Amino acid sequence: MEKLMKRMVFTVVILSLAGLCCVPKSWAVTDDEFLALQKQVQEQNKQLQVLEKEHQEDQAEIQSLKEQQGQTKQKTEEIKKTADQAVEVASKVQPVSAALKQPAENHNFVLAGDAEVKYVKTGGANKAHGTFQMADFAPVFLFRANDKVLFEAGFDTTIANGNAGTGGNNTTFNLTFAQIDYLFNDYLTVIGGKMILPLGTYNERSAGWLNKIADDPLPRSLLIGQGVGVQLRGSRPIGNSGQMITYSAYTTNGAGSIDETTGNATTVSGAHTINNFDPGGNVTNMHRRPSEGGRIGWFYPWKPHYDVELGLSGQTGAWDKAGKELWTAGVIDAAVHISPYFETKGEYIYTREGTADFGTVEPRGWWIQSGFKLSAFNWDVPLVPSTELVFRYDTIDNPINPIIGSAQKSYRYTPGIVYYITNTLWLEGSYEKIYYSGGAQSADQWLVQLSYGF
Amino acid sequence: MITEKRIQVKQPCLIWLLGIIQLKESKWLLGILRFAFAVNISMVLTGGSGTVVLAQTQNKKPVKTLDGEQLYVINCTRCHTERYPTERTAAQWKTIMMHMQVRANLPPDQVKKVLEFLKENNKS
Repeated sequence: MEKLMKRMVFTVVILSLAGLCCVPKSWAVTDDEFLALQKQVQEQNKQLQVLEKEHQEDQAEIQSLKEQQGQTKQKTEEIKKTADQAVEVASKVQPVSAALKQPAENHNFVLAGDAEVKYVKTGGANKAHGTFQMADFAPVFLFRANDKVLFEAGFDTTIANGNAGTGGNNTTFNLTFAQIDYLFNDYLTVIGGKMILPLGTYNERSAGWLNKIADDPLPRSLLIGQGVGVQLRGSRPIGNSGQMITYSAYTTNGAGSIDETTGNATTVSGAHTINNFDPGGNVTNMHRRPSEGGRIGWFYPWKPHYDVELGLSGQTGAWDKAGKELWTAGVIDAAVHISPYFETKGEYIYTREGTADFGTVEPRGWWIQSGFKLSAFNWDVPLVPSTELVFRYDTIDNPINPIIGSAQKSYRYTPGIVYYITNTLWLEGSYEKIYYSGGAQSADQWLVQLSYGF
Repeated sequence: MITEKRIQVKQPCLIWLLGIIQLKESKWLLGILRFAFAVNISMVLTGGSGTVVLAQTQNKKPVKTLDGEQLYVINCTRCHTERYPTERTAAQWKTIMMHMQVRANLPPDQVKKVLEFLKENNKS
C-alpha cells in the first residue's frame, strides 16, 4: 500500500511537470505585445486623468451657477417686494380694481372687418346703363384691455356713384359704432358709446358682407340703425343643450329731425324733397327725454345645424327738437336653420311716427329671406358644391310717403346666387323686381357684388 | 335607480254602490264596484295615503353637455360661414370671441368652450 501511494504521488508530479512543459506557444506573450499593452494602459490612464479634470471643472461650474441662481432669486424677491410696496402706495391714492392688475400680455389688438365692390344695372322706371356703383371698406378695430374690458369700433369708408346716367359721386366716412364693453358678470355686459341697436337682428348680424344679397331689405330703412347711449345686455342658458334667453335694454339720444320740426318731409337745396325723419344723422341731443329700447330673444338648437330663434324688440322716444312727437318702433324677428344647407330668416317691422302735418303715420313692412346650399346634393361637378341659392321677398307700406306726399306700397322679389370662392370671399349676384302701388311703373336691377370678410 | 309615478285617487263610496247593486244588478255598476274595490284595496295597502302607484319608470339618461366643437357649429355658423381655427392666433381668437360674446349675446361658458376648441385647433 505504501508502495502504491508513493507510485501515485510520483505519477502526479511527473504529469504536472509534463503539463507545464506542454504550454502552447500561443499562450506566450512577446516583448512587443507586452510593450504595446503597457502603452495602451498608459494612454488610458492619461484619458482618465483628463476626464477627472473635466468632471472637477463641471462640478465647479455647477456650484457657481447654483450660487448665481440663489442671488437671482434673492434679487427677484427684493424687486417683487418693492413692486408690492409701490402698488400698495398707489392703491391708497387711487384704488385699482382687480381687473386692471393683470399683466400686459392680456392686451390684444385685432383688425377685422369687410370690404365690398358692387356693380349695378337698373331697368324699368330707372333704366340706365350699368355702373360699378360702390366700393366699401369697413374695418373693425378690437382692443382687449383685459378679460373684462373690450374697446371696439367700426368704420365705413364708401365711395358711391350717383345713379347710373347721372353725374356725381360721394365719398363718405362713417363711424358705424364705437363702444366700450364691460363684462360685468356671466349674465350682464355693460356697453357705452355709439352702438348698433338691437332692433331686430339684421344690423347686428346680417349687414355688410354677411348679407347674401347686395342691398338691405326695404323696411330696414324705417328703423334707426345706431344710437349713442348705454346698453345692458346678456344671456341666460337654459339647460345644457345650447338653448338660451337673450336680452338687452338701452337708452340713447334717439332719432332726429333734419330740420328740427316734426314735418313729415323737408326740402334740401330748396327743391329736393326728402323724408324729414333722420334715423342716423342727428344723434346729438335727447330732445328733452332719451329714447329707450330693448330686445328679448329665445334661441333653441335641437342639434347642431338645426335651430330656431325668435325675438321681440322695440324703441320709443321723441324725434323732434321740441320733444313733442314720439317715434316708436317694434320688430318681430325669426330665424330657422334646418341642416347645414337650409336657412330662413325674416323680420316684421312696425313704426309709429307723430308728425305735425299728417298726424300719426304708421309705416311698416316685412321681409323674409331663404338660402339653400347646393352642396346638399353631393354633386361632383365644378362650382356647384360652393354655390348657394338665395331668395328674398320684402315689402314696405308707407301711408304717407314723405317724398311723394301720398300713400305708397312697394314689394320686391329678389332671387340670387352666392358663390363661395373661399369661406370669406363671396361673389353674389341677384336680380330684383320691385312693384309700386298706385300704378307707378315697376323697376328692376341686376346686382353683382364681391365681398370679403377678414 | 327606479322612480315611482304616483297619482292621487279619490276613494268612491263603496257602501252607496253596494246598496245600488242590491237593488238592481247590472254589468256597468258591477264594473264600477270592482274598480272601487280595487282602489280601496290599494289604499289599504298604501296605508290610506290615497295614492296609487301607476308605473315605475327609469330615470332619464344623464344630460350630455355640448363640447366646444358642437357649440362652435351651433353658434358660429348661424350668421356667417365657418371661420377656420388656423386663421388667427390664440390671443387673437380670445379678443374676437370677446367681441362675439357681446355681439351675439353668447353665454360666457359657451364662449370659453368654443375658445378652447379654436385654440386646440389653430396649431400656433
